[in-house]
Amino acid sequence: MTYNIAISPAKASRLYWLGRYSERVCTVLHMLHKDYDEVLDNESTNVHKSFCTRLGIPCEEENARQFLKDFLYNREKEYSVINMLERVKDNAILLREELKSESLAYVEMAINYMKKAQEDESRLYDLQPVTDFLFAFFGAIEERVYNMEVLNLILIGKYVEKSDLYIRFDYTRNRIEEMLDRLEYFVNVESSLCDDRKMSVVRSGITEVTLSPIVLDNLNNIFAA
Amino acid sequence: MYSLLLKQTDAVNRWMERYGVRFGIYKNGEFKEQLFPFDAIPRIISHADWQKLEVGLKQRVDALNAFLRDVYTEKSIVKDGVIPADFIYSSKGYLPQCEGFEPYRGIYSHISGIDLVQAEGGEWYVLEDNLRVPSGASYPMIARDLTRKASPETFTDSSLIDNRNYAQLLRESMDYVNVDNGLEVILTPGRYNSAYFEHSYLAEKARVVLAYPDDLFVDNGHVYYKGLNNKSERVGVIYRRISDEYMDPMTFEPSSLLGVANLFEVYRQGNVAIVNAFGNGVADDKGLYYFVPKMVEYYLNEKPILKNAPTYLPFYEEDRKYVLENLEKLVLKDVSEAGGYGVMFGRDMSPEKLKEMRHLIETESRRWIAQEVINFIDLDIIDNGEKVKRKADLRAFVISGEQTKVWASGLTRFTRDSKSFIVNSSQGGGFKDTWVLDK
Repeated sequence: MTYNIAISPAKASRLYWLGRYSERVCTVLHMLHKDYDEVLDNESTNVHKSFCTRLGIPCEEENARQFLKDFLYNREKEYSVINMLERVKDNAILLREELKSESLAYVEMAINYMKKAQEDESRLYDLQPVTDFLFAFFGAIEERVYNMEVLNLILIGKYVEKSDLYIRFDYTRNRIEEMLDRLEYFVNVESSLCDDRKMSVVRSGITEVTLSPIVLDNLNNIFAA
Repeated sequence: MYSLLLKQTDAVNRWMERYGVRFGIYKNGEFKEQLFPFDAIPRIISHADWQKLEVGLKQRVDALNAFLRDVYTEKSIVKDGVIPADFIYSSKGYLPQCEGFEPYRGIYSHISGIDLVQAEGGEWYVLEDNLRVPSGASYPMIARDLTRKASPETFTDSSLIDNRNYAQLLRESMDYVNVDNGLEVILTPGRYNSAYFEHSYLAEKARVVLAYPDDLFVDNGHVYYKGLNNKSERVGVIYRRISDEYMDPMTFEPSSLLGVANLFEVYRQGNVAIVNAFGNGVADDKGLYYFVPKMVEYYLNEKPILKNAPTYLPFYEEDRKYVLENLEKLVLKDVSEAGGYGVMFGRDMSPEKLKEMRHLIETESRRWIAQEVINFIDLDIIDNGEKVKRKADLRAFVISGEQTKVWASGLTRFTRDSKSFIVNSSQGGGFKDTWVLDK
């Protein structure tokens, strides 16, 4: 059977956001692990406040433990990890024919695991399988997606998100540059769908001593299907 | 034969969950997705039984396709007095817009879902023909795939026909009617359709594009799929999973947001194939069902191989008299309903309800058909760890392209309620794989 490879703008947008949300879940879980290590030693830490500030989300919780519970499982908070995973699924489920059922299964397993963890009020440290499933998902699509444009659009979303979070969480310039190198490769491959002028603004902005908000603004608008 | 598989029931269910084998349902106005309950005990059809079924199903669908071609063009079956005109023109499925032309390559029902039951004597009876957008093939397809993963030994020891070729059959049919080798798409109304899993799974397996209504548009007499960078691809065939009335707001329901404006005109000009064709509802109308054996004789000059369930049309005075006198032992069906709705058993009706229905039968005779209750074979299912008997039907799929082919499998649906005959998933039913033995 020959393969139909057409991609509509709506599908391109879903692919991009699938990449972004999947990466966001993986990376924020990683950041949480790093920040919450401190909570083990110091119950009264306000580590959650700086976490919220860096992520650009409101911080309504009094203490770090309550914030963690809300950030992971509260469905009322649009930025909670469980809601972000639902957004992963919302996009992925509309892309089965491109991702293939075997890849989509990892998203199903991640959200099913997260729902069970929510019921059990599982600790952050028990959520490693969610990250594992999403890593497996990224591996599966590399194996099973034959249409390179489909894969590229997911990876553009993934690297935009990862670069955004690296910048927000003050990663070293080298680490950010490495991530931008990856992003730029795909921006060049899909140049008709990306704004290379914005990419240039991001690259030059990252060398400044004080990071301007314009950098994040341009980064988040590089892709436009 | 399947004892090893039964030991792996939990593993099969885990695979089903992992693959998201679900169907959607609206309850109290709210959409919910739920796993489609799967029973690991397969329905097994012997090779000899299948051979007869296969020939009978091809014959029936060929006759139905001939009927659709005739009813929208020559109307010889009406002129020759085989079917009263009233039955055709009063059918909700009859579309006057389809008059006077044939779809590309003359096929109306490319994918037909024929619902059958097997009576205790072994005879198969057709309960219903579904020629619009019959759903369900994806479930036995994926069930076979997952049961093979969960219990490979079962399949090395069984001599059954592999059913994982459904997507290929679908694709062959789509290729055959594809106008000028255009893009092939499955058109879905979206995620909140009860059969969305099937739409996306079939698109994956048939390797065609899954399109949403906003992805398609009509320009200069052709249908196009909106591509990136303002590049569009001409569409040659659309396997639509949307009902006729919502497909084109310029021709049918003006308020439809699911359709593609001016699509019908492109179809009428023969510039795109629609799978299944517009207007097929006239042939799977429950009232027209009564006439299908007559269609076989009329168009093919053959004796019908498959039987209808004994059916009465209150439209005819003699039948009406019988139905009114015997309503308590008959099953009454509202011809305008589907999905297991509008089916009433006389034996379950209160005296008041019987009176009300008798009145409706007399005043709206065209709206009803009545059938003898067939004592059909119950199948074993596992319920809470116990093997119990439940009512079940079989939806067989017939694919029409260059040739008419019957998929050697089908969707076996069963009721989970011991007192019910209604097997539809929307009413709580489950499903089984259907094994056809190859010798």
